[in-house]
Amino acid sequence: MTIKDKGISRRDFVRGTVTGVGVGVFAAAGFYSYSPWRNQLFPKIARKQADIGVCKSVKVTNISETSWFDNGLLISDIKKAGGLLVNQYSLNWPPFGDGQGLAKGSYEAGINKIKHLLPDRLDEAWALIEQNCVHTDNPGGFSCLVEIEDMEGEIHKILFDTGWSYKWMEESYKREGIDKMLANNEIEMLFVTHEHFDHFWGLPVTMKYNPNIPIMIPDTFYPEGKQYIKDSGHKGQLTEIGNGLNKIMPGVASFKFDVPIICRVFGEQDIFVNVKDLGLVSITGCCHQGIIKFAEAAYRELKYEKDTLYGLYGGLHISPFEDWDPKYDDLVISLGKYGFEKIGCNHCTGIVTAKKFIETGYPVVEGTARFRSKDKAYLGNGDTIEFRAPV
Amino acid sequence: MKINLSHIKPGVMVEHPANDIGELLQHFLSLIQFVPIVRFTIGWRGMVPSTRYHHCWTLKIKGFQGVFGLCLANTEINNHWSQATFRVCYFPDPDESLVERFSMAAVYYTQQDNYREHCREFLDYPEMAALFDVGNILLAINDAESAIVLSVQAPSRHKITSKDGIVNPTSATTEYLLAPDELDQNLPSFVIVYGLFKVIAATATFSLQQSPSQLIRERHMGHSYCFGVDGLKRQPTHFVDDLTLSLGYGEISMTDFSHNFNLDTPIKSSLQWQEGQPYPSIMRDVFWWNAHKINDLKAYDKRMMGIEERPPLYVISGFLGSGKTSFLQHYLEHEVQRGRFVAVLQNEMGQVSLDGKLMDQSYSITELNEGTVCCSLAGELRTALGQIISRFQPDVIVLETSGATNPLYLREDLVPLSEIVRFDSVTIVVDAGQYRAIEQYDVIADQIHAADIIIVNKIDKVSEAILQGIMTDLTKRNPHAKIYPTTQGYVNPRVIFSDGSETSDKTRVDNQHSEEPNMPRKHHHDQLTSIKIPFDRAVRRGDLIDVLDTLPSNVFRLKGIVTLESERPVLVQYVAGDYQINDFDSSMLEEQFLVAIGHDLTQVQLQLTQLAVV
Repeated sequence: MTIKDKGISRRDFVRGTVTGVGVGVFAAAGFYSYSPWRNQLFPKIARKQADIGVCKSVKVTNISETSWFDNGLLISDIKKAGGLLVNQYSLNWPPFGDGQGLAKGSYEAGINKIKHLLPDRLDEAWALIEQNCVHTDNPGGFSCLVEIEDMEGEIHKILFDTGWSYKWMEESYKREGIDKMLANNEIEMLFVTHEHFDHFWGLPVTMKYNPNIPIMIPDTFYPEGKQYIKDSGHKGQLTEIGNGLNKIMPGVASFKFDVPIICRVFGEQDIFVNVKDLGLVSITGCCHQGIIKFAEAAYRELKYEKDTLYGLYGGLHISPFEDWDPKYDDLVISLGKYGFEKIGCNHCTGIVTAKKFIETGYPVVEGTARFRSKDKAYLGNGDTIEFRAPV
Repeated sequence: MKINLSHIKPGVMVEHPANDIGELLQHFLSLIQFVPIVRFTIGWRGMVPSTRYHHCWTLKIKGFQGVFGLCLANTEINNHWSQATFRVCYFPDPDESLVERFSMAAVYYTQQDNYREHCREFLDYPEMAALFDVGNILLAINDAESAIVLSVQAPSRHKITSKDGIVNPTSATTEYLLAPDELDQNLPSFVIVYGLFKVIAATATFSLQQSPSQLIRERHMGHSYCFGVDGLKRQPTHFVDDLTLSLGYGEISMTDFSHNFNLDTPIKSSLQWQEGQPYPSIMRDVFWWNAHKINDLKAYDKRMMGIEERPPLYVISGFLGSGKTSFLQHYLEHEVQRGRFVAVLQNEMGQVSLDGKLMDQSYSITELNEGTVCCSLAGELRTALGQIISRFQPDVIVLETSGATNPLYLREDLVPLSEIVRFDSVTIVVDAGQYRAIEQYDVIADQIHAADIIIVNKIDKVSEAILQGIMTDLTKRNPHAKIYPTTQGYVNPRVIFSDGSETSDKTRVDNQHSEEPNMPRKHHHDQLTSIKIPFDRAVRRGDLIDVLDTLPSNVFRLKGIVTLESERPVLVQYVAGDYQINDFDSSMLEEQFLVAIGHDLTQVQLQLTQLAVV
């Protein structure tokens, strides 16, 4: 009697009779030798284990993680302007305002109002911006200082993003002494993760103190963004980084993803640091590609100390994608399997998520909630985190 | 009109066209994420990129119970065209009747416990994935980047005959599961992959902001397959067609178009369409013609396209201290992370919308201070909702009501508001530890009775037996509600709420509403009263603790913000004997006060006043 003769469904048959037999029995019966697609094998992945070298330690100083101060205001601006796909330069947000009101601006019209004042006369520029832009009190910015100690003990400083509001960033730079470090040529480069307003539009503040600093941007900036670098008075070297892995110095590499981001921005690059006898540390801007995808890229592409993904700093955006199975729809659970040993999160991570990390027992380094950072669950403005193997 | 990729990505794709054409589909799929209403309307129900493989996704779409797998198989360049071929698998739900159409081996996989997990990363299980293959989707772009072609290819049926039959491996005698020459698989492949293609094509139309200019559909002579000990044989057959359907976007000549995607088998029929002609009748109602217009308010009649613009309204109710604020915070962040914007309306007994202050300021909060919603006129609610909608255009509105609100009345109040919001569901949060103490109140009984979803929170505070008792009791009181036990107010919101723009669930509430007995009930708060004591000076920690330790049992709940001597402001939360004193962000401090809720609060008023003044 075949299954058909017995009048039972294949599903019931498999559930009832054969459970526990194993697919191997069917394999022996020649079950899947017939697949016409068998010759077209699916792609395979292999760990590439690229060697980026090592460094002794890395320290991150949070200059500002408060990108804006009122999320409701920001989102309502975006919604009124037409939604998440609207070009950021058209919003009439600081500094690109022409007085025409929300969503009626352009890079050209905005920069023309202030170009002659960049980068040195930022107070005057900001006064004009306050006349011409909407919601000038809302911008803050994302920026941090990354200090790499190489194997010889020498410190290399990287400025990681440059914030948004001229006023707020100037204040934040002064608080952390960044203005002097820039002026003294102590900072080796400005690394811009992506073109978003809160990570990039504060550029003239950096230019004011060191217009010759080398800048690294993803190669997917829009023409407005590239023009802004020129218009801000940059005189140094500009490097555009393409997809994938890019070695910066021993133990330090960036990784760029092509990913569409809200407000018509494209592509984000973040940094991996390989710390001697410790493991790999990730420093991210927003991680729009998703922290899980970033961690997987590390696993797939890099060789790192002790084969350990040790630490995280920065904004941990979850993947912008909808999951079809809510069981897996939780960053807290997903992140658990990587076994990070030290996490400093802030910016776009979400305070509730950060608190859940803490409740779940993840090794979150708490902050001090100063300088308008809202919660100790975040590594806040003015806080630092260091990754170094114990001696 | 040429295609324009500049709003999808900056620059051109000249450097690595073969690689970039693979990326392009990824960009389409990413962009649509930012526009939930369009995403939902054209049929997306879920999308997960593989974390391990590039250009690989699992996808859920409307009308299919199972999950699609999509991955890049190869890219090639010929005749000035760069082309990417994506393979499509369909992993049916284990209980879906379509499973019966798949081969025995495929059926075997569907019934394994780890089937869903394996589907998620199907490329890790190529032997399994191959059994669920349904067809190909192709994407091509020309050198000039002026045109794109999107195609689907699949057999009308994928038939596989087992020449020798399949013998039951568990049987001692020769028992055939499948008789010799019986069909092992008879899958309507094209219909399945076409379901996905329609959604992807609409996504492309939306991303490119233009509709297709060309269409070709061809039927070719297909094949059937037979396998036996001598291997697999393929034979042409008239009973199966190989179908292709191609859409051209941008400037593309018909010769160019048809030349690129020819199959080498004899053609049986062909359908061609060009811009300017009426749409082919069998494809008139697909979204690939107009998905780019969905977002444009003025240009298109959304109602005709079945688009729901009213934001859904979720009512979250729960007795004070039950944990509804924690639940709400989880929910808000969940939505914010997904680019959706939630507006929260609160009303809290005691005239202070305390939870509004506790909530991160980043969420929009409008407070309804004038009494509880159930007592307020629908007019006031309408004004508040109207303001919220015009000011923020939220994707979702949550109405948080205090534990003293009677949701049965609320439902009635909400009926006239159906023009501006879509009433979705009532969720009630219940504190397991307090359950015995509160179930006696009529208002609680009503809340439980009126709920669509019941969250039993703080289950760590009670024994398994007590929890079981609570669950039984709840089920008895409201057999229709979904009940979720949890701790710390955390339930994945997507488990309990429909998508922000979903329309299918609305009948749930409407039906239930009509079942409610239409008899007027006197609404009272079960003699619960509240008092609010303002504090204008710091208090000693010891004094505060003394008061909290000696509060009488008729104080059900106490909550507020005070400043302790030589310390920062603290948040005080007390529920029937348990209390917490936590730091409170001083930058958010507006006033200091304590609110007590319970019955007969005269004595407590004295205690608190003393604390405030002395």
